[in-house]
Amino acid sequence: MPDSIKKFKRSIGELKNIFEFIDRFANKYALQAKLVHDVTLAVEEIFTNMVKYNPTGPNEIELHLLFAHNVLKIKLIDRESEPFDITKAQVYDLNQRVEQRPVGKLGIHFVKKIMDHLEYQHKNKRTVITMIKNLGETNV
Amino acid sequence: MFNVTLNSENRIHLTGRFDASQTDKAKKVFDKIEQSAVVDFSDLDYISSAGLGMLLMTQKRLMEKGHKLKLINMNNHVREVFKYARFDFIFEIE
Repeated sequence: MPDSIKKFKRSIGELKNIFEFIDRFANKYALQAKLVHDVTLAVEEIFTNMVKYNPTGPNEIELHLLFAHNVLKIKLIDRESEPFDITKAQVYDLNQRVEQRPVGKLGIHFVKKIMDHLEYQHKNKRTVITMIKNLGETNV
Repeated sequence: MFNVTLNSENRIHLTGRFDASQTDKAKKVFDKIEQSAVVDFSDLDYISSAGLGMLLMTQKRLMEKGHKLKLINMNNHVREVFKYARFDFIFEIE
């Protein structure tokens, strides 16, 4: 069972509450500031994607956090959503000149960069994004 | 708590967390910049792709007029986000 589960309204304004939830979890395990920063960034990017691409979804978005055996597992669940496999999203071209760089689309690139594992599932209109970070001794 | 101010010397000061919920607030200030400006990150704790997008949009607009942003005083976490995006090649960062 996850250590911490909370549902958040489908609104960008919920980010403040999400950050507080992550901070409380991080304090419980005395996680290092760098790790907390990266988890916060990854969760913001996935949550805002879910809000942006499914703005009329009828349900709240669930955030699960689990820390065990030096592994941090983060899960975001959006029920009643259309399929969009973020693991297969177009790769952000970091070599483009500034004029060609899109203003958006960086979020998924960040998540892939930060996390050790990113998994997408969609079944019965339910999207589940799972992110895993393997922690060395230095992270706790 | 996020805050953004523009002073009379065309210097922008960012404070707190620049996340996706703060883009409207930031846009009101960044849209006022019409020439090269310095953005001071010394009190900024966090930035996400939404914040980077705002900076990129401003940089593109300024470059069309021969101007640019200079970013100063980033903490290590924020600097790393710029590196993830390879924005350290797009902006002058000091």
